[in-house]
Amino acid sequence: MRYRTMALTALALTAIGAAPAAAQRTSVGMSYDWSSPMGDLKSFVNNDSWLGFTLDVRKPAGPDNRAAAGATFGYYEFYQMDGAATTTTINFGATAVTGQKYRHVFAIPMMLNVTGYGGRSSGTRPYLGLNAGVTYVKQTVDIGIYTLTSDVVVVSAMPEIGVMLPTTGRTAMNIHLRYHISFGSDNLYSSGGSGASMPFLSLGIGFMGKP
Amino acid sequence: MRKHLLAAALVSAAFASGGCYPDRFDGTSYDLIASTHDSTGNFHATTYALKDTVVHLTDPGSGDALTRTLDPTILATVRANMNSRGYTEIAGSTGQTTADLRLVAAVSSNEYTQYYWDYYCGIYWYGCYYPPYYSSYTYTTGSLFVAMQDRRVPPVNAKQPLIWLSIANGLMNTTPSASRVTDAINTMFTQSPYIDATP
Repeated sequence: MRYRTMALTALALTAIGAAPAAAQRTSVGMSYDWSSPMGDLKSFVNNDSWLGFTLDVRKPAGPDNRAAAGATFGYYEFYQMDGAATTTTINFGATAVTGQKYRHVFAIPMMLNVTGYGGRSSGTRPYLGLNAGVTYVKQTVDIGIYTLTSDVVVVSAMPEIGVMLPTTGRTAMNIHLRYHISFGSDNLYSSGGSGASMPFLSLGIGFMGKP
Repeated sequence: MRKHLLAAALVSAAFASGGCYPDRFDGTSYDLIASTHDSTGNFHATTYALKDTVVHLTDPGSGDALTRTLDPTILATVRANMNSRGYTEIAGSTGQTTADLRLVAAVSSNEYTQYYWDYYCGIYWYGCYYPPYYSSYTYTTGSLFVAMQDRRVPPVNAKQPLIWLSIANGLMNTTPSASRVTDAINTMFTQSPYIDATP
C-alpha cells in the first residue's frame, strides 16, 4: 500500500511539476519508469520493475535549443519472491539452509547528462542523451526471517533515446528509453557470486518543460 | 496536443496502479530450516532411541505457552524418517542406554516487539502528526529442534556431543499446523542425506 501511495503521489507531482523556468529556460521534468533487468541483475531478480521514477533537470543551449546539459536522479526497485511452494537450499560446509527466498534491489542513479535534440522547439523533438555519474545500489536477500543486506555506490552511465511531444503551454510529454550500466562491485551478488553489476533497461513516460 | 496529455496521464495511471508490491507477512513464507552435522560423525548404525517427550524450552519461572497438541506429530514424523533411513528403534528407557543413536526433539518460542517512527495525516493532508509519534508491532517466532547423539562415542567432559542438529524456525502468527511441522521435519532429513543406516 505504501508503494501505491508513493506511485500516485509521484504521478501527481509529475503532472504538476513539469515546469520550465522562464528566465533561464531551465526545464524540470518527472517520469514514471517501467524497467526490465538485464545481465547479473536479471539472474538475481528475474522480474520486471513497475516501480521507478526519474527527476530530470536540463538547461538547453545553442540554436533552437538543440543541446542541453543537466542532471538526472532516479529511483528503481526490483524484487522477486519465490512461490509459496518453492524453497531453496543453500549448502555451505556441513550446514544446509532451506527457506523461501525474497530478493530485492533498489537503485538510485545520480548523474549529469548531455542531450542533443532534433526537430524544432515548437514541435516534436526526438533526442539522444548520455547520463554519467554514480548509482547507489542496495541489495537484500531474505531467507526465513533473516535478511542479508549489501549496499554500494558504483560508477555508472545511462545512454538514452527519447522524444518530447508537445502538449499544452510550455510542457511536453517525455518518452524515453534508458539503458543503465554500471561497474561491477565485490559488494553486489548474483548467481555467479560477487562482482556483479546491475544493468537494466527503462521505458519512461512523463512530462517536462519544452527545450 | 491534448490527446498526448490524456494518453500520458492514462498510461502513467495504469503503470502507477500496477506499482504495488506484496507484503511478505503470510506466515509460512518465513519458515527456515537449517541442519548441521559433525563431518567426522558416524551415522552408519543399526539402532536408535527417540526421547518419548518433546522438550519445551522455557525461561525459568515462566509458564509453558506452547501447545503440546503437535508433540505426537513431531515424534511420529522423526520416527518415520529414521525408520525410512534403515534404522531400528529401541523404545523406552532401554533404548536410551543401549541404542547406537539417541534423538531428542525440543521446541521454543520468542516474542519480539518492533518500534518504528511514524506519522499520521488526516484527510486532505491536514493536520499531520510527526515523530515522536510511533507505532509498534509484535511477532512471535517458534523453533523446533531435533538433535542426535552417537552413544558409541565416549563422552567429552561428561557430556555426549551432538553429531547432528537441525532447527526449523518461523513466525507463529498463525497456529502451527500438523502439515507445517511435518514438512519442516521432512525437510530436515532431506537436507541430511548422510543420515543413513547403511554404510
